[in-house]
Amino acid sequence: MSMKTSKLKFKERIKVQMKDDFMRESVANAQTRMYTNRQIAADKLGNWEQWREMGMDIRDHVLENLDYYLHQLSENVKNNGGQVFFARTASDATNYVESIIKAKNAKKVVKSKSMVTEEINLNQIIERNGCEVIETDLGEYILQVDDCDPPSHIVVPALHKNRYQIRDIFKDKIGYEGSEDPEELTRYVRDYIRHDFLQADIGITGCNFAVAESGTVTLVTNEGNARLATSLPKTHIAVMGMERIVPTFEELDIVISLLCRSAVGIPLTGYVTALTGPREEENLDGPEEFHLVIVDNGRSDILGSEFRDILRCVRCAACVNTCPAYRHIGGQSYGSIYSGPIGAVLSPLLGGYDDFKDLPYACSLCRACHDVCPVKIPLSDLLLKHRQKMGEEKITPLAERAAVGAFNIINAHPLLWDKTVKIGATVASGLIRNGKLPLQMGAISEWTEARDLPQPDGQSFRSWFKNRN
Amino acid sequence: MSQIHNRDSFLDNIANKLGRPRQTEPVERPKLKHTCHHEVMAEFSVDELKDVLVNYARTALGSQAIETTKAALTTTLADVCKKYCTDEDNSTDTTQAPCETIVSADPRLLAIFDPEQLDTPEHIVHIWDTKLGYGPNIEVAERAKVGIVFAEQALAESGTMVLYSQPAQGRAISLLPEASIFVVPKSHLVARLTQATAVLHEKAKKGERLPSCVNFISGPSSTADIELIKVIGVHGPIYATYVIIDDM
Amino acid sequence: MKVNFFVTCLCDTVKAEVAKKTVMLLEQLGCEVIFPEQQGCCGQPSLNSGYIESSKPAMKNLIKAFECNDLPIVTPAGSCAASIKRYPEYLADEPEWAERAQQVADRLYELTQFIVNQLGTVNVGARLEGRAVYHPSCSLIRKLNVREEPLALLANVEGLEMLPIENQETCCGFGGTFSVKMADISAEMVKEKVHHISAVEPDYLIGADISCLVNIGGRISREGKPIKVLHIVDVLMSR
Repeated sequence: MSMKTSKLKFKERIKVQMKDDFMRESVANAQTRMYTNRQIAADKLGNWEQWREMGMDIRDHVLENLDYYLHQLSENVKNNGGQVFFARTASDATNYVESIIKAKNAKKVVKSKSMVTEEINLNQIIERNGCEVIETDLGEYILQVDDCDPPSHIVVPALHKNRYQIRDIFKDKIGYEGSEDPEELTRYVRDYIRHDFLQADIGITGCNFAVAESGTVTLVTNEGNARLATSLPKTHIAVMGMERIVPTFEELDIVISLLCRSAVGIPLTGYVTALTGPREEENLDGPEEFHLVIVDNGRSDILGSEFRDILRCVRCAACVNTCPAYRHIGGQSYGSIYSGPIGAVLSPLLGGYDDFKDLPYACSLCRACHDVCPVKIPLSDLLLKHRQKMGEEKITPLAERAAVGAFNIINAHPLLWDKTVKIGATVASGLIRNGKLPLQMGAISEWTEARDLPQPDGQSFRSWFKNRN
Repeated sequence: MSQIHNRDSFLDNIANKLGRPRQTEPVERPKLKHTCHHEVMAEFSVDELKDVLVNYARTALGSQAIETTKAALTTTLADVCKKYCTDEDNSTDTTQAPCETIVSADPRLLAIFDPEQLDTPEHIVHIWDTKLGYGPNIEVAERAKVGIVFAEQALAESGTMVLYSQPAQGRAISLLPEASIFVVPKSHLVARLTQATAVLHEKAKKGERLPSCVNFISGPSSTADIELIKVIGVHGPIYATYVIIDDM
Repeated sequence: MKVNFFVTCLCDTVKAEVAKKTVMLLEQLGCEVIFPEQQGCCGQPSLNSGYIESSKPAMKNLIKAFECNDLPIVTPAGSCAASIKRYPEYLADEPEWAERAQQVADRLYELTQFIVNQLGTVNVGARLEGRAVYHPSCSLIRKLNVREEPLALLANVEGLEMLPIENQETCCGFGGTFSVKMADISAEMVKEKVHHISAVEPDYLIGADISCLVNIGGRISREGKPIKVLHIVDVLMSR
């Protein structure tokens, strides 16, 4: 799949999603658990604000000097015997990977979870060469088996599925005959794809953070699939969003510490794996060939824009876990592999306003996400910037622009405003009865779908104030 | 064959978007604003760190943590392997295939542990042997129930064992068998990730090639992908034991 | 002390009682209240929808309205205060106006902030028997950093018992135009909010931001729940 995951319009998608009671309960419970655990982990570490400040500074420094650090990274990868491909576009990246598939005559690829590879639609490109791709991260595996159902969360992609649904998917597609017990389901998958790891020609991963000073690619995981994918097959390809880099291991310490706590509420995930080049000559296991594919795919445009801060993102999904809008509509409503606040900012930037123009409005600007972002991205301010751009580019509905225009004219002229307030007060108190207006249309009918209108107090304040003396 | 493709146009574009020429002169990294990462458990003695590690491993990671001495190491490892090799219902059915353990050939480990002592008809012990080549070692590792490795460092805060790949200690030893046993001298214990990354930073500064695989391993493999319910044992090992040598 | 009063469009038109009581409370606390009539709306409906450019004439009008003197400006709405405090940012490309905006923003206080921090009072002699839930608006706690002040005032209201609720700091779903533009999502958020409030069976819901109260109150009314919705100034003027 690519970044876009649905053909339906936003309003249609949320209607469908909001009817899914299991998804809503599941997401609400997951959010509660994840944001509670995040807070506990942050409190236990202590001085969390200092950590966040350092995280923000590190990311900003890297972005300001991105060309330098990518150069240093590539030199070090080369010196360690690896290959580096700088991919400006998605197809540059997939063409390169395809060339390796062909060169190796690869028949099987094992993949560990990587958002950027989904963004560039890599799996489809691999499969068209008669090469099987197995998503080995359990959540991604479930979705792949389920005819490539789109992910609903950056870290826990199958969050919207319950154990019964997963049992049925496995029964249907991979010959499972056991119960819905999560441990049983998990162990079945362990056995079912074990041989795939052992037989695969190529292992493909993402990259949580590259370390420039040593040419290292770091993977932050729990399941062991990324270790298997990067230790058994003879070739390892790491695909990396170009901004996912730190200068040295000193900075890696800070960002990993922030990431693990913000994402899953623990100090370190089960496996933090720092891979440097193909294996050394005298080592027995590990890949003989290592390729690093560094992907731009629109990121450089973001770098040069007023949205640059979004590139600080470490993909922890803390914002997703805190967002009250996400809570009710779930990840698939966003129509993008990136959901929640990060998705609402990033998807229009990488995918354009045509497909993603509604996302920046699916936010009440509550700023809960600001408080939890480990690198202090001002997410709702960036959403506001999107709204501003869409207004300027006349993407917003004409009726809205006309109404706002009229409002702004009246608001800029004290006499007009004064009149409008007094008339408004009179009209409201005259017409609003039992929380409704006689004519329900437009914004009024949207409001009154679920709420009553306020009971007016009668006279406008300014009339009262003027007349009291 | 060219090892770096399209770099210049790619990086030129970045510099262009940043509104300046290419940054080619070395960049001075700003000093980190705070020192809180160095202060975590900074005053702790190594015994206090050990207590933190043991407690975290047991309570948060579902792992065993055992303290032993150099002299008792072999016996300790024998006990742990035996436990792993015994059936759930505690029977040792002799008609079954023997349980196998693969041990790292790290000289620091072999200096204090004699794997031969654990080798019996029911429990076969292999030592990672580069001379045999890739295939045989991997086959053994995949068959083995237990893998024993030697850790460079242990991180108290997160219950983590730090492993460097090396010829004598393949990646597979702590990856393919269902059970992992990590042996670490108490003197290798540090507070947290900060001290581990510092070592790697020093190596990189000196221009040393880092080990191709440095693993920070905290417990057995796990997932919460199904309904956010934690399941221990996914694609990596299902069991983990930390063996801390008190007098080393 | 003389103070200017910024009434907010909601209070001026449909919730004048809140504005009136605010004036009377300030007078009770020894202030002389001035109402610069030139004032309009803070512009949130336009600003939060992204129409920054076309909001500028109105922003400038509001700035001019409060340049009539140098006195503090008090308003009973956190969201409006927060909005005006961003004017310098919105007018950044007109440095002279940005500076003037900053001067006005620096003099602007949300009501509870003003009473507790500027007037130095936490007890205004109020009395209200009953069990209440306080809703901290997102603007107050996350934009203005006003967390303790309303709580301090409420703690000193005789007879009033404050009850915690689940997810107390979660947004009520108003978000200005969000409530009509994304009415489906907003409705779910306000339903959940009312669900959490109702669970503790309070007599009152109290807030310091009239917009949230109109939103939550509208849902409480639709559900027919017996919870009285009060602005904090209603409570503080209760005897």
